[in-house]
Amino acid sequence: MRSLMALNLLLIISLQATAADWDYAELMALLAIAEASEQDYTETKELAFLDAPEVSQGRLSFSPPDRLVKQVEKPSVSRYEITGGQMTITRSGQAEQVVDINAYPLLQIFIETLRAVLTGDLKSLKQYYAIELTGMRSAWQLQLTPQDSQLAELIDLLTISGRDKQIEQIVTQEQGGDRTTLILHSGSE
Amino acid sequence: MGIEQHSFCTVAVNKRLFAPLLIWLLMVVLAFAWLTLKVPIRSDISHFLPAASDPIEKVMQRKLQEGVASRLILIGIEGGSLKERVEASRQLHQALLKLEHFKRVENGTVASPQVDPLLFKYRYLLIKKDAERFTQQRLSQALDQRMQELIAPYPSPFKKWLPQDPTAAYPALLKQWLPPSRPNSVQGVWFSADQQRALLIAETAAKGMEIDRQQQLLELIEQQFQQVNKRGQLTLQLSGSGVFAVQSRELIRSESKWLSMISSAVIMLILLLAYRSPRVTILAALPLITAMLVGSCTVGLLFGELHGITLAFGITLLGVTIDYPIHLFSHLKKDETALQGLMRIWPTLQMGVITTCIGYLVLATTGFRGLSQLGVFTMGGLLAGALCTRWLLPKLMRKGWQLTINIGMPRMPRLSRLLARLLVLAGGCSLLFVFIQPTSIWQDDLSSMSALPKQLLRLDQEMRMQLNAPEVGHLIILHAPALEALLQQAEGLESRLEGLVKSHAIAGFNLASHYLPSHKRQLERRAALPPDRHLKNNLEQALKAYHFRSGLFIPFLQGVAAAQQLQPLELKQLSETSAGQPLANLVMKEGGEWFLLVPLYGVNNPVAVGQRITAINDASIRYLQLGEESKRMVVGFREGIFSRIGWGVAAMTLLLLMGLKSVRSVLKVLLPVLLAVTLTVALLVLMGVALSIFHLVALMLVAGIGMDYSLFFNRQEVSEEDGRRTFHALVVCAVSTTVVFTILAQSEIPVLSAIGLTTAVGIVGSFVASMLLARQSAVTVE
Repeated sequence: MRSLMALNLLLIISLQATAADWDYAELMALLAIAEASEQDYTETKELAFLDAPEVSQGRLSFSPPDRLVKQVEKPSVSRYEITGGQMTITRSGQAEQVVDINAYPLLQIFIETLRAVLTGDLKSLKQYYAIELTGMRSAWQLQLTPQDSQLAELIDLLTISGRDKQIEQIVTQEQGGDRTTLILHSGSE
Repeated sequence: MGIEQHSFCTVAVNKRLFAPLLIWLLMVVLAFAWLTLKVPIRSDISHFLPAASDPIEKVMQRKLQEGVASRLILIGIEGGSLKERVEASRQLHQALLKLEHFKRVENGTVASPQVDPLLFKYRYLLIKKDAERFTQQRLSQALDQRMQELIAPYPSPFKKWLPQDPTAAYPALLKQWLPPSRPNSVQGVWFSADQQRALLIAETAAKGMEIDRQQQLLELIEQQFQQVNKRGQLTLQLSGSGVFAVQSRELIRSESKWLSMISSAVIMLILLLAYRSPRVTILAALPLITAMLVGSCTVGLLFGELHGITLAFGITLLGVTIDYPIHLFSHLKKDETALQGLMRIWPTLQMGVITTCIGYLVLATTGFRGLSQLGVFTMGGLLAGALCTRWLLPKLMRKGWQLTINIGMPRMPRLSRLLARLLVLAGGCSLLFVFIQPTSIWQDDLSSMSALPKQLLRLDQEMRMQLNAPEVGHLIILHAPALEALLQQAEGLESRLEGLVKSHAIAGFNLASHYLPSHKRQLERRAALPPDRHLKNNLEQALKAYHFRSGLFIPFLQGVAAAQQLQPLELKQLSETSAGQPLANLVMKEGGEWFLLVPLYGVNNPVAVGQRITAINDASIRYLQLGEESKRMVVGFREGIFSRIGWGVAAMTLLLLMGLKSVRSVLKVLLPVLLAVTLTVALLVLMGVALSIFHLVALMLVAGIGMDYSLFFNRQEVSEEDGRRTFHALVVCAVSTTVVFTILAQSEIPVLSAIGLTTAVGIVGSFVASMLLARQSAVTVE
């Protein structure tokens, strides 16, 4: 009886492990087929400092391996372009600003996270986060909990959810209760 | 080894010899023990700088010795790929930051900004005045920017300070405090412009002159680097005052080791060949050993310390004491005791020693602490060596030992007369040649005194330039009895300096009043802060366009109101913040007077800077060009030493006159010495050597030895045998001295090789001149 229970337990554990590993590996493999993409997005920032959520819209594009552009259209126009180690910020009515990402360790981690998610770079993610995957292939959710102490001071939790190889939503839970929800609208690929 | 044992056994058996030797040995051991236990060996080059006279020079010297500049280690990483260099710089930076031995380690990486509560509180008194800061329009602009930052796709480090500081005065303050010019950077890490060398700076807690601690730190950096350099592709380069001090010491140690080993071996060989007696060879070393120990002890007693360079040079200069026993050995005749033999030559020997000592007395009275140590060292040593030869050696000589000498001086009266005349002519020409030199024959650059090879100095210069460190050579210095007055003066200077930046005379400057405004200015800024109601009204108007939570900016209003109650910030308070470190380099208190140092960056037009500062017409503001200033100090010293040398020569002449009792004889003795010195100088100038203070020291050595030769050559010889013996003694002296100094000339240390070359040339000159000129007629020493 006891041995049967043990066997059962072992079976359950190994099954779960296999199930999780399978999903995990496949998710990363799916994401790893990184291809150029351009999508509309809606971003909602719920901040303690603001009376009401700040909603912005624009387009997000990615060209492998490392070019990311966030073009904000509403409520005001601004553009953030990341190429290699540089971020170029263009805001209406201001001079173009070029930031050396590597000079700001925190910014660097943040951007590396985005790229790692977009390209299925598991190794990079594991460097900074504890990772947990739930759900199924058609509706998965990846939870990233910062392990780096500096990063943890700013961010509580990153939740990325999606369907198959499509990332649908990124939620950034900041320390102190602020939350940013980025929804990517598929269909305009 | 066997030979030595044999000879010392014989000595030990002989009871008559036992007592003096035992006493001598005991003294040697005691002196050695005292020196090693109680006398610290120093090695900072600043000892060889002239003693400062006016307060500004004192401040400069203190800055050189203790200032941050002396505590910086410049680190370069070369080799491998660009990525490897970037990575290595980051890892080394991280590793060194963890060590408490370093006050500061920088490689260009910006740490996430820390908010210092004190500075935050005082931000409105510290930041540059901006009358518009609190207008509705500017507040509106500021809020717009903060909103943009809030919704930016990356986290803002200042976010949590938004309610207190919506105008971002604090980040602006930190920006205002950034150094005026920063090095070139690749991927956030400092690099040389060609990207071949990653650069870091480490400021050590230990002073640059604490050599042992510096050495530990260098080893530590080396270790950490080895861990970073796993593939072994990268090379580490270190520079800075501390590094120089450590390397100088290593160099002096290793050089003096091999130089003294080779020299001792060569001298032993020469003495063995000349006297064919192991015992005599060993005895010849006794005066030298005595001289070195007594010299060291005298300096230890008078100065409480011994400088490494004093020791290295001093030993070289004391090499002369080997001449004393040589004279004794060569002059010993059959059927006379060692003491009798010695007493025959003693008056001449004594005269030589005393006149040489006068030369070193000149050195002992100079303002260079290192050189006065050297003078004292040599004087004490020479006297001890002579006394040892007089009182100890005769007792230790084996009875009846003497050398049969058959070879005398070659006698070719007509030829030597001709050569003598030619020599005098050459001397005259040399004198003329030296005097008509279009450029100064002196090298007054202090860096010429450095013990280090030129390539190390070049590396240092290169890295300093690449790091955009302030120009070491250029400095504006202000002083006043009170700090407040000084800060106000600095604030007045600011617009002038900005004018110089605009006209590209300089690239930048660093003023203490940037960090610590005068009380007056702080109070002005305080008074300019808006009244609470006014600010509240402006903010409310500005906030209308945004949906910030109501009441969010109450801490801001409170902060501005609180700032209006603040008493001006004091230096002491500010020193404990992150501004303390740059400030410590800019403000100094020395003997009740406050000094403000203003480092300049990228000085393109020193003349314009000089004019602008002179135009202020205030004696308490000075523009210093350190290179020029130290040159001026060296020139001043040299001119001072010339008058001292004049007095020295007068004293020597007087002494010679007392001994020789004839003006003619004195001239006869002095002429070869003067000729030798003149010829040596001319030869060095001809070789393109710029003369430094160390050449001057070497020339004094030449004069001293030359005087010995001249006195002996000019001695009235009683018999032909005496003549042969004198000649033999002088040949042995000249050959051994020339060989030793030729070896010294091979040294890697510029100053040692300078002394070596000068002396070797001078000795040959002295010998030849004394020999040729003395033949005309001899003089008697009584």
